[in-house]
Amino acid sequence: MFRLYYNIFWNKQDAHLHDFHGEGPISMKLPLIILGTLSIVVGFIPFAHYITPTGKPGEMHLDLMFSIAPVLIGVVGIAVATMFYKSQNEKADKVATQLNGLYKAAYRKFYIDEVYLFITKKVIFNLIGRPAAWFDRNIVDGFMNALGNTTVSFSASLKDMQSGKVQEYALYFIAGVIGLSLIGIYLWM
Amino acid sequence: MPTSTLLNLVNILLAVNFIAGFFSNTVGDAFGSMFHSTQLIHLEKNILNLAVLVISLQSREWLSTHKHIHEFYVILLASLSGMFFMISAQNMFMFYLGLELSTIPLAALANFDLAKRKSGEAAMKFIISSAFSSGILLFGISLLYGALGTLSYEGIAATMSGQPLLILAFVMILAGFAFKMSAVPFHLWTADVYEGAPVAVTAYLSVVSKGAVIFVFFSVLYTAFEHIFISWYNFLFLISVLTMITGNLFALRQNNIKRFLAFSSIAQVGFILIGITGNSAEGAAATIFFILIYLFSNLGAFGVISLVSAKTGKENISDYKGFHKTNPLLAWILALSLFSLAGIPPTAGFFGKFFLLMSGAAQNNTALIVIAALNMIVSLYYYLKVVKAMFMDSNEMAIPKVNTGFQAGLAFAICMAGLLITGLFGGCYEYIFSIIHL
Amino acid sequence: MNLNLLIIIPAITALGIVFSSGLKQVRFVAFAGAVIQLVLSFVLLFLFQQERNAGNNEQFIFQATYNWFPSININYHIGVDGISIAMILLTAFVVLAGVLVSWRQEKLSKEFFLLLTVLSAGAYGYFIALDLFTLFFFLEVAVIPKFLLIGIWGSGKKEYSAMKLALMLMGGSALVLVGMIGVYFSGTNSLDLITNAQSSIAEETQRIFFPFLFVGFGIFTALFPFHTWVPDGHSSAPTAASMFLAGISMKLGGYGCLRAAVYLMPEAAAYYQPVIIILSAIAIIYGAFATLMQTDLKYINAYSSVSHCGFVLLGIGMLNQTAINGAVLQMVSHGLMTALFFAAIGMVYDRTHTRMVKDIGGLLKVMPFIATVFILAGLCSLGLPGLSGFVAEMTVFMGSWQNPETLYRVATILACASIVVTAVYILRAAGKTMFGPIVNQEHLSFTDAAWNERLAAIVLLAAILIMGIAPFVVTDIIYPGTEVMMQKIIVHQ
Repeated sequence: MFRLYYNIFWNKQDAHLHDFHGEGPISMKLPLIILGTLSIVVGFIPFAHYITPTGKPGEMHLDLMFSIAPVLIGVVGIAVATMFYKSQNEKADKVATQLNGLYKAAYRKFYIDEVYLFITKKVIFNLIGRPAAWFDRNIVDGFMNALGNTTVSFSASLKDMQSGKVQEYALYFIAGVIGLSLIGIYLWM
Repeated sequence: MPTSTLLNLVNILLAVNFIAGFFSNTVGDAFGSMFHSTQLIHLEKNILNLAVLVISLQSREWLSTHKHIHEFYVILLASLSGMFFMISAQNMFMFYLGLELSTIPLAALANFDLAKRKSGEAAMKFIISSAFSSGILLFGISLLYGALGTLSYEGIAATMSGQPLLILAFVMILAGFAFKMSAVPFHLWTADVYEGAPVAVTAYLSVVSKGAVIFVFFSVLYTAFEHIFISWYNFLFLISVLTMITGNLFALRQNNIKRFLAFSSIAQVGFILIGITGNSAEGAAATIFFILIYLFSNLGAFGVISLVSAKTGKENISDYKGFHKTNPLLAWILALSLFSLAGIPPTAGFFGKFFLLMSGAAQNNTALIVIAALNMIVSLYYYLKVVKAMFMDSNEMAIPKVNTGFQAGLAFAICMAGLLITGLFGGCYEYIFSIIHL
Repeated sequence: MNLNLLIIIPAITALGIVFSSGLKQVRFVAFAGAVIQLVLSFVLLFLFQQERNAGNNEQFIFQATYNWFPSININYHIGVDGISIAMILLTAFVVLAGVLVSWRQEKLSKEFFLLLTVLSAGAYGYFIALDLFTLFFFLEVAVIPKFLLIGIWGSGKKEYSAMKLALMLMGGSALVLVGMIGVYFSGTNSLDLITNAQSSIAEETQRIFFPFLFVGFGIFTALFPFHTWVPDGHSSAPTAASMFLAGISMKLGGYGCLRAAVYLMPEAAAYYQPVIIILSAIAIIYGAFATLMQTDLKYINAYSSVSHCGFVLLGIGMLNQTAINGAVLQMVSHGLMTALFFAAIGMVYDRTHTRMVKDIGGLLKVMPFIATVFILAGLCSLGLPGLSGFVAEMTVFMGSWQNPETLYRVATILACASIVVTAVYILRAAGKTMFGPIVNQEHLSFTDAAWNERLAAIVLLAAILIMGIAPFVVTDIIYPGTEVMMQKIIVHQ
């Protein structure tokens, strides 16, 4: 951030100069000023009082450590940038050659994009998304379908009970009577 | 008398009979207390009257080309009067007489399409199986008489106990009932007879005949056998589970639509038995209420099948593919009837099944309710399969447009109105409940 | 206000559809019915707030009871609290948008709109029901229309999907039925919600019947592992049916879990809490990862619905007020967002005749309106602040974090992490189809959204934006409702 700032506003222009038009018209500056001011104050507006899930104002804690730490780190960062880039000098290059790997990593944004792509495309899509989708289609849905199919095939296997022969029907009938009597007399007495 | 005039006259008379049923409310005994009548019994008989009226209206198409209309009605009404005797019976002997009077004519009816070999086969199977079951039933009754010395329900109730001999007699009587209701394992005749008999007769068998026996069944259990409740509860629990599962599993794979409805009606009996296990006024009310709804739903379905069968001779589920395209109204009627059988609101079947389960659950048998609930899923599958064939499958050879005559249309109107009103309008159930005195 | 109007108007609409002929008349009747219903819902909201401001602190307002089956104490009992009203508004929005996107439904238009109306009537009745029987009645009324809508007008393996959906939902209903019967015989001999809430059910009984009720309703809202009807059902359904399914129908389940299962059986809810949390955390993270691999836009949205509805169950399972508020918010937000998403996908599909991500590209240049809607729906789905998804999910997280035990912390962190995954699949899909190069030169000739499609999208977008920018509009309605319920839930923990 601050490398950008110093390079643009503090360093001498390199070879070619743009036609410089001052800081621009008020129509451009005003929104910037408003946004800038608001971004400074916005943190102090107790939003939790206005947007709450319950209708009652929520409570807000200001955790000091939590607020100071980022500010401190920010200040340190600004200081380092000031040292390196405020005036054009060799310090930055020197440090860069000394910390070759780190600088390169930082230059490539610590390979965040590559890692991100790797994690999403290779890891999440293939290792989580695909199995989840497969599991859903085959195991969960398959189980639900299997419930239905088993019922249907079970009913198919029962079909022989209904043979169309009256003598068999009579047999089932008498078996039913005897069976029920036995259960009724010996089990449920 | 020309055929159509005769049919109209008969239908008008049946309608008068049904309406008159609302005004007959004599309560009392006859034949030395063998015959008994209450408000509830009048209602039950009138439900059967309504069913016969609807069946007669629906079978007009089929009968108009038939040579033996006179015989058809004579036999039908003879059977119906047998059922009336059976329902009113207060004595095992009277009950047996009524049962035989209602059964034997049915065998003749099953063979009413004389030219069809399947009809003959169905009638033969029916009469042999019935004779067999009647024999066992009579055996049971005679054992009961031998042990207790009485056949009147009151007398039985007073002396009934859980002795092994009496349990054996009870099981035999139970088997006789279960045969008529087509409960497992006494159901095997059902599919063959339903498939072979003419549609009107199948409808009669599945609604009127079954309904009458169930009316008698629960009242006999609740009065004559009330002291061995624990025994018959266990028997009924077992039979109802077997009946639901078997009916559903067999219905899954049927292609003939009459056979399909035969098995589905077996599964329905399983649900009715759950309601009966409640052993309460709620159970009785739920059972009667369900039979009334079952009448509307089953006859709605049979009406469509009867029309299609009379016009095109097609009776397979696969023939019904694309039915909605050619006959949207009939397809919706059949679909609504099936939804009601499956117990889907807002049709009355939903209420009927719910009350059956509620009254059965009063015995705190969670397992039974869970099994019943799971069976509802299976049954929905096969009902929806028919709906899918009608609405979603395309078919080049779809059943052509079938014209519904006035009388069949009237029958459909009765069924559909019944399907939608009996449930949503709570008064119907409440009336039944109010006239039950256990 | 007479709440029966909410059912009578769809009923009249349905009758009107039966007696009208031709697409133009039918859709006009359906549209009119939907608009009236939306207006009515706002009137209801207004009157409700007025009652509350006038100091009416009853839990349910505008109650009405009719003795349906007095002999067994089953009543038709209706009434609303804030939660119901939020759901009714959601339904009204989605129904209107659904009717609008089906404006050119040529095939069997009469039956199509009739079934949509019946389905919506089921949902309205469900959300006002205060008797479990009434609730169950309307729950099942809504099942068969879904089956027919998918099976007749769907695409792909529609019969299979329709059957699967109907059977699994019927399975859910069957479980609910058992649970209800358990409640009835728990001592009150009543199915009335208020009566049962006032008398506490014995804990033994609760432990038996809570799983029936919770899983039964859970199936409707894609509880893992009973969610498999969701991807197939949604992707085979016609656009309006997908919107109804995901936007309304899945919410029936979440509402039932909260209103019937957790509210009536708080002890059992606490007892089974770890199971609920684990299952919903699995649904969230696993649904998100499964979405990553989908190549069909409808499958993407369907799987992401599994993940998003997991937040609803997670919120309910946390058993604290913030989380439950979040769950209700998530139901409303997800209903609106997913309906919008399905509408946008439907619009794309109507033009390109494909839903595969690889066959579509650069639509932003061709049809900027549809593309913008699509992107906004996606952003809402991944929880961009300013849209409703952020508010709802944030609230669920805040509530979840209040539970200090490790299991709940882990579940919350996993749920948070799923948002990253959501961002990946949404941005990938949106980037590929809306930005990027145009894949098919034929796509250059397509026209942008027609007025009906624009109106449908704007209606839903407006609701999403209002909820996102001014969440208090919705939370103020919901909050008193959940507070009363929490009083019972907390006391019994």
